[in-house]
This record gives sequence, structure tokens and C-alpha cells, in this order.
Amino acid sequence: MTKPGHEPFDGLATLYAAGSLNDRERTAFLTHLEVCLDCVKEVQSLLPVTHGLLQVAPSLKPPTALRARVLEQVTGGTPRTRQLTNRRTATPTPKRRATPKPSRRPGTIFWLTSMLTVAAAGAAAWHIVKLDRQITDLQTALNRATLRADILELEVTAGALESAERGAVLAHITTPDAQRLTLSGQPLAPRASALASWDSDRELTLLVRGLPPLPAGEIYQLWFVGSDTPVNAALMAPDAAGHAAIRLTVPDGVDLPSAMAVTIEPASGVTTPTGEVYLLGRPTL
Amino acid sequence: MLLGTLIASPEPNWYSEEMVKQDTIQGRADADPEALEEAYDRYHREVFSLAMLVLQNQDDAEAVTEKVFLHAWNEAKELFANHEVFSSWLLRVTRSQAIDRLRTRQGSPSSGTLQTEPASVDLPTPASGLDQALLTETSVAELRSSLNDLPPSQREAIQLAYFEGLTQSQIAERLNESRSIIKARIRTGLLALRERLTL
Repeated sequence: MTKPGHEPFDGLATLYAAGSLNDRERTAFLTHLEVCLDCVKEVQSLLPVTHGLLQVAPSLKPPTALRARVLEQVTGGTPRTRQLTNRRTATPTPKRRATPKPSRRPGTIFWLTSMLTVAAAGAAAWHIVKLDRQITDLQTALNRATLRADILELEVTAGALESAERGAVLAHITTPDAQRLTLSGQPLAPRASALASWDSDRELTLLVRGLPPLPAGEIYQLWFVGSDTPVNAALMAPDAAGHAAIRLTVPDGVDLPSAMAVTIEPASGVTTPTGEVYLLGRPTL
Repeated sequence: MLLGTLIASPEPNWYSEEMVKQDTIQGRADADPEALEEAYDRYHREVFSLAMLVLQNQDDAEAVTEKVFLHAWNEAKELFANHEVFSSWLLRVTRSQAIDRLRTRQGSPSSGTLQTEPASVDLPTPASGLDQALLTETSVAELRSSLNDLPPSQREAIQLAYFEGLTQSQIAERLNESRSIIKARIRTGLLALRERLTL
């Protein structure tokens, strides 16, 4: 159902996502977004497309000299040549398209020509795919290292627990088949963070650190945030240092991985979130 | 900020730390120019190609590429503080810088004879985190193909909005159509692309 006050903004979500509003319209629409969840959802649903459109340009390689120009301005001297650079520049460049210097904008003709040219270059593109895969592997290794660092840091949090419980918690979050999600502190709790870890039986452990002390009569509440109404997961009260550890079984109906959030709520808990968000995390694809 | 608003807020404040750490430049920006080299080597094709698509001129595209990476270097600390994901930020800035340059080259902020207020060059900052990382080669190829399959009128409207930075009024004027028709074309086209995009 359309909310009161929505009508002047009807259809603007698409134009906003496409970057086609002027500054005045954009400012007004941003204000509207604060109160219209329907528009928020529409913008959000289109962002993968509008972000993806930034990548649809036919892949062109700039002149090698450009790299030197950019780096010289930072280093003030001759840039070094890294191993990764050597590998990439030594790889044959697909001759999909020369880098022309058109003086006028050919518009749609270029657009269509580019699409066709890219399609024809498929046979040579495997070089690029191979290199991208190498980079992806490096990123995966980096992610794993980051995760290990997170776990080590969170062991400090677990140190606040009783030793038996601590052992169980650490065993759970480090189990090989566990999936994990990092929750980041929000503006009200910038130093807070958390790591959620769950296994194939949907048993979930959440280790939290750095949450501010709770005001009297309030409690932190964990939510699973899907496309519909957030699902209540658990209540938690951190210790004096802001640490908390909880274990729970993920409710049926929650698709994992799921975004998770921690809000502050009345001490008895609520069925739908009403308070400010202190921690938030979204799964990566 | 309340949860309902935050879920899709345009404010760049809820990217996961893991995603931020995938991008190397921010954390090393203080003292290590090699971070910029790494970033350049990883993303220069994407930046230059997008600039070429918008500007259709190699000299201009090179200038924009240079400006974007220097801007990245200068803004690295702020990016890190805001939990921005570098690759996403880089391409959004490339688009806005390229459109700015296109407008300057054309001698008018509103493109040619069009006199209406220009579009903001800023794209919304993705809030979900789901669309932060660059798409895979497969997804990009699908999106390219889907874009090519759109009816020409929809594709043209999207292209003018997205790669030339025109507002719906400016597009309507250029194509001699009503604003509502342009709005409908962009919306229908983007929704069709969304439906076919495999993430």
C-alpha cells in the first residue's frame, strides 16, 4: 500500500538509482528515503544493476606510460615494477580493439560496435579470466588470514567466559565447516564488533566485544534480517567490558547466510525492532 | 539510525570489515605507495574503460584515469574511515569525473542546448554490501548481453541517464518524448536487467 506523502516521489527511486536526478530532486528524494521503506527497497533492489553497469564497458588497456605518470605523482620518482604487474603486462593483450582517439562522440554507434567487438573477443579473453582467477585466489587467501586474525582477537572475548564454555565456543567457531559473518559497530558503537559462526546443523555462536554498557531497563537484541520482517534471534546483556557470547539454533525460515543486526530494546525484548542499531553485518557473495 | 532505515540507507556506514579488508589501499595508505601501484594494476582497465565509454576520447579518458587514482590516493584515509569498499568507490568516482569532464568539454553543464538543471553526478552509495564487490566476468557478460537485448528505446534512455549523466527532463527534451515516458523506459529497462542479473 502506498504511504501518504509518497505520490510526489513515485518512480523516482529508479531515477535515483540510475543517477538521473538533479541535485534538488536528489536532496528531496533522500529525505523521502528516510521514511519510505518501499522506496528504500526499490533502490536497494536496483543497486546491483546500477553498480554492474559501471563494469559493462569493453575492456581497454590504457597506455603503459599512464601508469608511470600516476605513480610518479605519488612517489615523486620512478615507480617500482611489482611482480603482479610483470605478470599482467607480460600477458598477451586481447586485440579486441585499438585505443582510438576519436575527436567526436559517436554515441550509439560506438555502443553497439563495442558490444559486438567484445563478443568477438571471447576466444582471447581466457587470459584475462586466468589472471583474474589468480587475483581472486590471492584475495581469498587474504580473507582467510583476516578471519584467523578475527578469531584470535575474539579469543580475548571468549576469555571472559567460564573455561568449559569457552572451550565449547572456540571449538564451534573454529570448526572446519563453519560459516562466519562479521558484524561491524555502527555510529553509536564504533568500537564494537562481533563474529557469528554457524554450522550445518544451524547452531550459531555469536561473540561480541566493545558494546557500550546498557542503560537500566534496556537490553541488546539480535535479529536475522532478510528481505521480510526481521526475525528475533536472542537477547543479550554484555559484561562490564562490553563482551558477550551467545549460542542459539537458527530459527526455521531464516535462510543462511543472513544479514544480522543488534539493536537496543526494552529489557523484555520486542517482536519487531524499535531501537537503534549497534551492530550490523551482511554476508558477502 | 533505526534498523528499517539502515537496511537500505544510502549512507556508507555498514559495510562489513571483511569486505573492506579485501581492498588493500586504505589500510596501507599512510606510508606505502606500493598500495597505489597494486590498486592501479588491479583496476586500471576498469577505470580507463569506463572513462572511455563515457568520454569516447582517449586523451580525456587518460586524464580522468589519472585524476581518479590520485584522488583515491588522497582520499584513502577517509575511505578507510568510512568503511568504503575501494573497487566500488573507484568506479563511482570514475563515472562522476568522466561525466563532469564530458560536460566541461561540451561547454555546458546541461549538455548542448539543453538548459535544464543537470543531474547530480553522484550515484547512490550501495548500502547492502551485496553489491560492493565487482561482479564476476560471467555476471558482467550477462549484464552486457541483457543490456544489448533491451528494446533500443529503453537502452538509449538508460545510456543517456547513466553514461551521459542526463536527467529525465534532459533526456525527454533530447528524444522529444514526455518525462513520464522516459521515466517508464528507464524503470522498465533497469527492472528487466535486474531480473536477468545473476549475482
